[in-house]
Amino acid sequence: MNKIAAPKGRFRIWLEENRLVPDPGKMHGSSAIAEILRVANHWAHKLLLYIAQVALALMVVLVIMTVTLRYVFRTGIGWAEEVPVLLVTLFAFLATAIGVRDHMHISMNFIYNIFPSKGKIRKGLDFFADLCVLVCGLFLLLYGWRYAARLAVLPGALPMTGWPTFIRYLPAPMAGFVIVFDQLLFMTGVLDPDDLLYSEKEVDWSEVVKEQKKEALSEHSTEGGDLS
Amino acid sequence: MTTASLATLVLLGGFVILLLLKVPVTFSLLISTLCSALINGVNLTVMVRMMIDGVSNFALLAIPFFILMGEIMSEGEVSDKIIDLANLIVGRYKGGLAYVNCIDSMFFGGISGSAVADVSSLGSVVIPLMVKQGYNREFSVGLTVVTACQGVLIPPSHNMVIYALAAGGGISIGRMFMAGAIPGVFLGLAILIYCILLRHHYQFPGGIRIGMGDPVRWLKFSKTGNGKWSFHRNPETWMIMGNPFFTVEMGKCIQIIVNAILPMMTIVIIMGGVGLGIFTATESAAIACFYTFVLTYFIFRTAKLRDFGHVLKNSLRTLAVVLSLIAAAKAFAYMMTDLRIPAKITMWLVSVTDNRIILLLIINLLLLALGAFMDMAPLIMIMTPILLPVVTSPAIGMDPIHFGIMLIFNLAVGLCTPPVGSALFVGCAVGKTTIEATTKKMIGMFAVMVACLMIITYIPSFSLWLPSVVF
Repeated sequence: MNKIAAPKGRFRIWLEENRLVPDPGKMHGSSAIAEILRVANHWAHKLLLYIAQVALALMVVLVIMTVTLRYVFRTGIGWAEEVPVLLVTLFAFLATAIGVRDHMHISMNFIYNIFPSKGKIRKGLDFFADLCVLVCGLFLLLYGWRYAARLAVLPGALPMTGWPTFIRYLPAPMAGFVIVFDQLLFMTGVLDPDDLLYSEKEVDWSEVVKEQKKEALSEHSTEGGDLS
Repeated sequence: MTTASLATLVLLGGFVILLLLKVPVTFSLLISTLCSALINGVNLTVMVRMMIDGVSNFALLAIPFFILMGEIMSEGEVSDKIIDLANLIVGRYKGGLAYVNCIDSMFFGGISGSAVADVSSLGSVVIPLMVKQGYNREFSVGLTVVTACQGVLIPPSHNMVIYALAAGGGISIGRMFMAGAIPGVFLGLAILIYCILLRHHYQFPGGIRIGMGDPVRWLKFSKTGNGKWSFHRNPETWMIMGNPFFTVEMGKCIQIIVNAILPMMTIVIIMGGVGLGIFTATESAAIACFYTFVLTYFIFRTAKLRDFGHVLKNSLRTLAVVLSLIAAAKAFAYMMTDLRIPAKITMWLVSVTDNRIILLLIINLLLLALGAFMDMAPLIMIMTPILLPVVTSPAIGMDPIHFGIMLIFNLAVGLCTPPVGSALFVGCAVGKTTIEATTKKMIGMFAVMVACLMIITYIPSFSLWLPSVVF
């Protein structure tokens, strides 16, 4: 073992565990661009996760603060209702994007499951679903941006905080951008569909149950051979 | 074909086709809405505005709070404490664990509003215990799945918030919570009675106390030294250290009760706070969330504060689905109203029959059929704008809160019916059995559930009595 190399700092280990630094083995030739994009995607989502977590925690804190102020100090702050609502809007759209990144959105796959796995039909359906998500992302990005930009030049402010109105609509283009970014990387094969950032690979219960059925059948057949 | 009818066809037909092609529900809703808007000449920026408006709501904050609360609870392994309490109450009878299974879901329903969370956290403890004691494996799984459906009715339940939002904000979330309590407990008790009646048929094994002595039998009825039958003190549990009431067993009991009651105080915070008008439903959710946080990390210390980021991450899975669905469904509902679809369906249904009983039966059958294929949250979001005008029309004159409870109860049946039932899938996976075998054992329980559904549909006071008393 080469002991001369400097010991890795905690930050460095954290970076590598979260796959936030490019893999030197893949940094040559044409795969370098893909690797850089992959790392950029991981960084973007790390940031997104922190924003979402902070927004969620802040929502709880602000609402509790309102109640405390009301009952303990008999006072209140005007913006204590407006800011949580802005935060939940932001959170909802970020969560939508996060859901796309980690394939969390629920879909009905009982027709999909009829077809053989890794067959052409399944691939076609997967591609179609990806395309639909991409279209939605583009819609959120373009029209969300257009709407926010239109509001930005109009006079108007949110009633309590006095912030400009367009920030209410900014989460839509933000989420749209992230969805388009992720979806393009998925569809070009830069990102592996199993490369999950927020969760373990989700257990597909219907598949698990199918496996168990097979096991049960095979057990049954070995026991008595009674397969009706 | 007029533009409006083409747009209607694209909106509804397109949605169903996209759904069947395995496009996620949120994006199926959005794409069909966008296509329909393009055909009908609605500006697409309106759809962005609708989506944002759908999630810009103070009441909506309750959903992330409740889900976060449930995640903190499951991180703190509250299910064990709840099972201990249920066991203390009914565990000692013949078929004890089956009754425990009914009761613990009732308690857990007061903490979490998700049937799936209920099955995965309680089921993973109770099902292996039941199987070990000699219960039929499929029966155990089926019982766990069916009883877990109480969770979506007993407050706090984020599904109630989803319904209130889908209904257009005119419905008080606090009232919805109150209304769900009795039907939820009623379902649990009905299943409990079903188990008690069939205890000989299924040959339930005798009761057992897990890790406990005999906690309540302080008196023994047996022959004494002089040959007479009489009550006398049970030497195992009676009187230690000179105190006639406080024994070691008694201490254990109190510990179990306190350990289970503390997490269940959330329901007191929510129901009490909202019922007495101390705070709104959203505020009560935040306070309950904070209470759970303090309880898990500072009082029980069953979870490490270092892993709190992990809890936040876990809650993202449910929230990503629910919140994006609410945004997309708002745009979908806007398009439906724009095309007057709910009004047309109301006209059509009322023209088929204006008999209240038959109409409600049709609606229930429709919802049961849809519930077998789809999950609860999307169906609440999609069906509420369509069906609420029907049931509140003068021909039926149903209370929106009563309808909400009926809808959620009905869709709860759908959570445990094949081919698509998320609670059933998780139950079968946790219990390591097949859906077919479990479904066969569940037929009786389905009958009980549907009977309860009919009672709740046709007797409004089941749902409306408690909110009318409290508010």
